[in-house]
Amino acid sequence: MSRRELEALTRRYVAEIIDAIGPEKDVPAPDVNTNDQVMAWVMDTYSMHVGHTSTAVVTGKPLELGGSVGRREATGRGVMIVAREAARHLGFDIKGASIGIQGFGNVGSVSADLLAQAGARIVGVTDWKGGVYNGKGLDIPKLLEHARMHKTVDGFPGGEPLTNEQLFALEADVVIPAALENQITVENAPGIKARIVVEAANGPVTPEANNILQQRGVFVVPDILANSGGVTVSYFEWVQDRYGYFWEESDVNMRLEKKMHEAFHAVLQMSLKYKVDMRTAAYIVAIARVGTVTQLRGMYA
Amino acid sequence: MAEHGSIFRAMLQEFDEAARLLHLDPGIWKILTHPKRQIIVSCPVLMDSGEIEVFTGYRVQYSITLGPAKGGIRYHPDVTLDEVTALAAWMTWNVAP
Repeated sequence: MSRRELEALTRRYVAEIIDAIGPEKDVPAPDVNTNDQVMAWVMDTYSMHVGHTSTAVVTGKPLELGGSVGRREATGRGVMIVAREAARHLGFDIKGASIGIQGFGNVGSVSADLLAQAGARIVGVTDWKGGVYNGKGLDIPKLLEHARMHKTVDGFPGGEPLTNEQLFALEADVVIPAALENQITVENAPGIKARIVVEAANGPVTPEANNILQQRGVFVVPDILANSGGVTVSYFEWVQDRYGYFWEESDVNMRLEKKMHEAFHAVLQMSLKYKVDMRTAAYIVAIARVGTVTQLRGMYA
Repeated sequence: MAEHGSIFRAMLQEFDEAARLLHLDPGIWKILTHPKRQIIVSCPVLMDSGEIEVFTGYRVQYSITLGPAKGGIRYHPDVTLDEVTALAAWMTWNVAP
């Protein structure tokens, strides 16, 4: 679709759901194929309807109109934090660990960049077109530049070609699916050699594949924990918009680090207490929280 | 996604296991396994070709128990109400914020 068509679609969609959204009701954000420009159109359309500028109706906006520093990197930063904590829990250091990543969009690319900065070796990356492998560790700044120019990691000169099947069978310490749903299935789950799988995408492991990974002792950091950095900084953006005061990037990152660290260890403690995997433990934490408030608020009628 | 079945049902499987271990109250269990609100809209758009195209849009607010609903806008030809409902539920179960 052209830019004009995307803008028309966005404004029409917002107009259709206008009664349902608002800073106190429902706050949209970017997802697959939507970005900060689309969020700017959401904000403008809503503001035109209510008759005043309302930045807190949507998050993931450009910095110039109420966005938050650190928002773009937030999901990837959260992925880096939980990967680091998971490695520490299993008794190794993320520094020097080898990592394979599926997906090089906003989440995959930022995760790769931050993990490389933390000293990890990113040995394989695949995307919609192809992939690249380098056992010594890919040069991530150069790969980011290549992906920016060619819209894919495929054909990157600093490594050899890599398929998705090869990525999931890599001799790596950590594998990070950062693309779409249902990528690790009964077909490729038995071949996974990594000790840790970090679900940066939503639902990348099918329930059957999850059972296989559990039986094989793979430590899976579930999506509702692993990719919650994005919604956390979206929450920070909403707070800053309502407060009318904007934080430094170091403040955003420090608060995100604290939230993700707490969340990881709350889930880990729950998993040890109930002797269940991290996914079930994460659901226990979440259900207990929402269930308690539901009970306290009562049924209304 | 159709060949893998319902994504929302996969979410419910994950939910049920945890709810059982928690001995979740059956009434609360029912509430938490139903989306609060699902909206379907048709969005007519005048395309560059001069033709009118109608796009179907969804918005699911799974829970507003803890505060406002929150979640992404996804532009993809394969988007379904089932997928959006699952994504909305996962937003509710997000652990960190």
